[in-house]
Amino acid sequence: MFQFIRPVILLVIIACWWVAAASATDTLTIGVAGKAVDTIQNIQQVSQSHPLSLAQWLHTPDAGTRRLLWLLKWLGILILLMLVVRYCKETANTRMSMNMVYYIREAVYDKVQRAGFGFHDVHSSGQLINRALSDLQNVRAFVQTAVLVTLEIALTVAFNIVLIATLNKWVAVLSLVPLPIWTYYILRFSRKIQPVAKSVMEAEDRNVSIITENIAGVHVVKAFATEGLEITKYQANCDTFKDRVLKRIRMFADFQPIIRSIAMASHLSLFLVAGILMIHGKMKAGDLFILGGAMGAILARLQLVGNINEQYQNAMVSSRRLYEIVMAQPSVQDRPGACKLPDGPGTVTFENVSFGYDPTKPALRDVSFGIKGGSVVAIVGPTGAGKTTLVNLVARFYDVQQGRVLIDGVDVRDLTLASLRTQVAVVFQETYLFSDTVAGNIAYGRPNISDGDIEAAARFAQAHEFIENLPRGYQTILGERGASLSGGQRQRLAIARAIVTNPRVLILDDATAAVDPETESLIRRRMRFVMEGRTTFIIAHRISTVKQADLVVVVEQGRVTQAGTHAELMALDGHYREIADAQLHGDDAAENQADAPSHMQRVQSAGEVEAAVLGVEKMG
Amino acid sequence: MTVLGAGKGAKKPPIISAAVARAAQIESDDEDKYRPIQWPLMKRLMMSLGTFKWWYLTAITLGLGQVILDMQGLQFIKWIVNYGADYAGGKFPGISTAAASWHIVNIIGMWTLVFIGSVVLQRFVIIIMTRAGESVQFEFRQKIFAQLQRLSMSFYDRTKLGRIISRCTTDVNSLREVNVWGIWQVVSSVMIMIIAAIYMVHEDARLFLSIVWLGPVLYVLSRVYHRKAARGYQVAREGFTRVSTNLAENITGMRVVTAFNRQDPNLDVFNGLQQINTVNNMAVSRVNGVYQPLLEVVRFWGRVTILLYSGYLVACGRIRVGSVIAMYGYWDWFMNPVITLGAFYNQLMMAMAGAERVFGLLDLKPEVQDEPQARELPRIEGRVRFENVTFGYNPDRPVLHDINFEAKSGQMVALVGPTGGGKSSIISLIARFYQPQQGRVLVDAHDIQQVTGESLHKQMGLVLQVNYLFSGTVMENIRYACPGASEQDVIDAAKAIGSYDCIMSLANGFETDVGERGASMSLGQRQLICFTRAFLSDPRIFMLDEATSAVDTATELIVQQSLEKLLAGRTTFVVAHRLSTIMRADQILVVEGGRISERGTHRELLTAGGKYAHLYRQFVLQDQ
Ligand SMILES: Nc1ncnc2c1ncn2[C@@H]1O[C@H](COP(=O)(O)OP(=O)(O)OP(=O)(O)O)[C@@H](O)[C@H]1O
Ligand SMILES: Nc1ncnc2c1ncn2[C@@H]1O[C@H](COP(=O)(O)OP(=O)(O)OP(=O)(O)O)[C@@H](O)[C@H]1O
Ligand SMILES: [Mg+2]
Ligand SMILES: [Mg+2]
Repeated sequence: MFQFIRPVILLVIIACWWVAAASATDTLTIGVAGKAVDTIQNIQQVSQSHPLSLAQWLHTPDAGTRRLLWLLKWLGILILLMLVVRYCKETANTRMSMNMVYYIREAVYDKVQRAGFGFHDVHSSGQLINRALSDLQNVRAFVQTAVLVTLEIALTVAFNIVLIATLNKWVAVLSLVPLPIWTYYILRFSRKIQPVAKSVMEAEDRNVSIITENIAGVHVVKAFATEGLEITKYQANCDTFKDRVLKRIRMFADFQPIIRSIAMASHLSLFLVAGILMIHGKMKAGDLFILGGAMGAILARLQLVGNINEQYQNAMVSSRRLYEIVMAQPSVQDRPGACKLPDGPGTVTFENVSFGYDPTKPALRDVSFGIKGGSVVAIVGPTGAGKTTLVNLVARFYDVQQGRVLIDGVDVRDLTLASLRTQVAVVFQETYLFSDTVAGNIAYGRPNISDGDIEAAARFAQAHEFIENLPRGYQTILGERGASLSGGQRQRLAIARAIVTNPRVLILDDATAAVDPETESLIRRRMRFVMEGRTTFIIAHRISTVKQADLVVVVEQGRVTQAGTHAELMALDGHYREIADAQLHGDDAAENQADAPSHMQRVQSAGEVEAAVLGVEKMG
Repeated sequence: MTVLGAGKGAKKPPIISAAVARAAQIESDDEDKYRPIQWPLMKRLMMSLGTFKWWYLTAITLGLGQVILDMQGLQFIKWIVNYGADYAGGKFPGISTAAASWHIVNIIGMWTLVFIGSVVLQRFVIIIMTRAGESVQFEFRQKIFAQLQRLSMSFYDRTKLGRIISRCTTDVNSLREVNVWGIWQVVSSVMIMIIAAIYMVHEDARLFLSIVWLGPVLYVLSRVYHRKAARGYQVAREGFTRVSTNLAENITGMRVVTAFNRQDPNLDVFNGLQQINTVNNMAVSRVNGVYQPLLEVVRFWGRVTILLYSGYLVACGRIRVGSVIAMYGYWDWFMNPVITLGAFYNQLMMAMAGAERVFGLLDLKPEVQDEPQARELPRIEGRVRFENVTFGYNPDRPVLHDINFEAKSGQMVALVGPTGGGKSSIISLIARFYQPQQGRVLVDAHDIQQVTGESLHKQMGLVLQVNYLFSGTVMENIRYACPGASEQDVIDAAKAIGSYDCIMSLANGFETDVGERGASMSLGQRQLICFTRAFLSDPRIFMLDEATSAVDTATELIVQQSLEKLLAGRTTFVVAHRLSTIMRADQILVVEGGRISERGTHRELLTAGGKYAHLYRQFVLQDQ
């Protein structure tokens, strides 16, 4: 936790100073007011014979009156001083905590952005957002209270006890007696209520997450007419939520009398003692006044101890979680001495690559192939075979567990991520658009690009026409996740976004699945100009998309089972011909389906393909 | 080791200031947090407390009792001080110190009794009041949620997720100020002020008059302060919303951020927003720093006046020193509610803004809604007919123009055509997500506007282009459509449809956690799960919007063949760009620019040589 304070240590010290100054002025005002009361007690009663007017009284002050005026003047000065001190305290406090938040949030944001896909597979985004917002809030609240409020409590208690001691040593000692008991009960209460408070918070979080899921999946809810079900689910949660809230209130209501009673007991016993002392002439009215004021200030401050304890517990948990993020090793990071990607044609080579999201369950096994710079390679294969995984390794979103991936002869792990990722552009299988303008989304990878270039890219992706038809053209702000566009429109924006970056290697992961064949062929024709001298990976299920690739790689169950051109693969029995037949000859292929060898059998014969694959690799 | 090593962005010049400005502007349509007090709204809020009327009344009565008891404390102090001062001043020569001390003990004893009474009352007040208030709160929550389930899709198109969530959280919570403590606060504040005023007048009317004018001053100051602070807080909150929206968006879109290497510019934009946030917060703290002590000064003015004036009164012999202390105390009792009321007024304005939005939401009429005389849709054969349907998400920009077609029961109808043509929109209309602006959609012979939504949806199976999985396991997701289904039913369905092998190849089969929005499986796997989910609901009409676009052709074929067998006699709508998927359809509709430009079977359309034939050539033969 205290590592988070270090960068703002100077601001913390300044804030502490003002807290101290504020406590001191507050205590002084109580003291001065008490003295004033004393003085009033000692003011001589003027003879009753003729009524005294206020002006007369002020103009003919006796010693007591003079002293009273003098004290009140000082009280006025103290109040003005307080005005300044409180202002400084408030602003210093905010400055400190805002700066701290700034640094921590920056660190978390930066880390989360750079942590890599592996990290995000493990941490859900809801969780991360929550940490960056509410955990941070907890830490901030704690630093603010732990450092400043603790100081304030300590000083206020100390100053006021000193103030009481100036009246009477024994009373001061007596007033110390209830403090430990009071503090003990407050701590006990905060400890007891903490699990309850936490359970309320959990119910509240759950409440929000039910609503969030319900709304994000509103299509599904409506489509399956499960509204009633959702309402029941929500009500069940509301019931627990309410129970917990009421339980917390009940605990509070049970404990409140105890705390109040202890405070009151100490007040009463002090007044008792003070009253008796007055009877004995050992105390004056002003002293009683000071006693009341000082004790009130002390108890009010000690009441905060409970909060501090609670905040301390929360902050410990929160700061540990934040620390975990800030200190997390990015799943993929620059090696020491990593170099920039040297110029080259864009050859890509896989050498005996194995990889699994969970290392015990490989998603890719011993994959080897190579492609020449500037060529187009198509990857086909069944669902879940590992196609996306394969291209993820080219952009080094994950690190391979065995073997290596080379671009222009350099292992991607030896390259700086910045140089690699600016040279490799990916169109993801699932389109994610930001709720920014259309132009802002296209220029995402090159924020400083000109409008002309944005439009050119949009034309290449066959997106210009529909963008022009949007209400505000390129300046239209998209809905959340691009919700106001059709599936194909979203994909074309994503393609434009990738083209704009002018990459050496372009990866299209099922990037035209939602685009009709005609538009797709237009895109392809135009892209041929763009892709001149670049290497392109195309993952697709449509034969028409992959047909003209220089190399078609078939991936099945994490292995490369076939590789070659369309014509070559059509001549061989296997997955590729099977799907091609199904697509190109429709009905006839369907009838033959039963005879086709199963995936498993083909995978076992993968060894036979190896030769063919290695043949291709030599081209690379 | 420095934890905050990333601080490098902090001192960069704001090169991305334009982007910051844009990010700041995008969310700047933030909502009003304050509204003036409106009586109709207040009345409605009060009405919603109705069922708990007696609870509130009881609590308020008990609470007033407690306040009165609490205010007696000063009387006891005054008593002790006066007695002590008089005794020390030698006014009671006949009384021994022991007897005098005993007198003090008695006073303290009485005080103790009064205090016990107050504690007991307080406990009941807290419990009764909050129980009633929270009950009202939860009633609101449930009403809102139920209303959200009724609202139609166009509402969700218009309204941002964050906004809807804030209806259920922030806005409802702002009502708490009224529901739980509001009435009590007003009643008790006024009560306290009256009692305190009576005491002070009783002590000395002139003294009271000489300071009472500070009350209105303080009230005005408190209002001004709270209004200023509230504006500042609103600005600060908006700034913070921008920080958190930016954060959330970049975390959810993290894959794109990584792929396009946008970390550095993003950090600059983020820090720019943070700087704005810091500045806003500093502004708020400056307002607090000026006004809070200023309020204190006004109170102190009164105290100083009391001290000075009581000096005079003592000199005149009109009051004794105990009264000075009591006056000093009652002055605080008098002034605290003034500040509270100033703050409360402000909270009331927040509650007004919240109430306005909450009631606004509750009053919203779903655009697609069951007609009052809507009937249950009986078990249907599955005929679907569009009659002159025109529809636009925004009525001024129709995306479907005058659509007419009929799907016979048991037919497979395919929708093909260029992207953005309106295929998904047609599907949404059949599912009654939206209401057409003209024409009608009929299922069998029923206008779907005239039947209940539930009975309609129960007979439809829908796989949408944007697939959505809830967090949980594969099993839970498939069962979502049909909560009554047993595990075996789910497995049977998966087997029947051909997705069983694919699901079993996942790390834990049916018990695999799908991750956030299904992130830990491949897209094709997700689509198959959605497919199985729709199939399990045993629909009469099956609608597949690019349901297998990411599924390989071999698997797709298996699925399709099973479907043909399983769904015999049911109507199926298929949207696909992979034309092999739809070649066997009974009817192919080519949707172009919101119109149906061609219709017929695969062979008919090929012979006709129109758009479809062109598309098909592109699909099969590529560019030759
Ligand atoms: N983030 C992840 N965490 C864990 N497992 C994953 C993750 N992403 C994919 N997988 C698993 O890895 C395997 C390969 O997935 P991949 O996404 O590469 O398939 P794919 O060939 O792209 O399939 P599709 O054609 O459906 O897109 C699948 O079994 C999938 O469930
Ligand atoms: N929620 C929405 N709000 C506003 N406009 C929308 C919305 N959804 C779609 N549109 C617009 O309506 C038109 C038709 O979209 P639709 O989704 O029906 O196309 P589609 O034929 O399904 O295309 P695709 O093949 O790309 O999925 C498009 O121009 C699109 O931009
Ligand atoms: Mg994939
Ligand atoms: Mg669509």
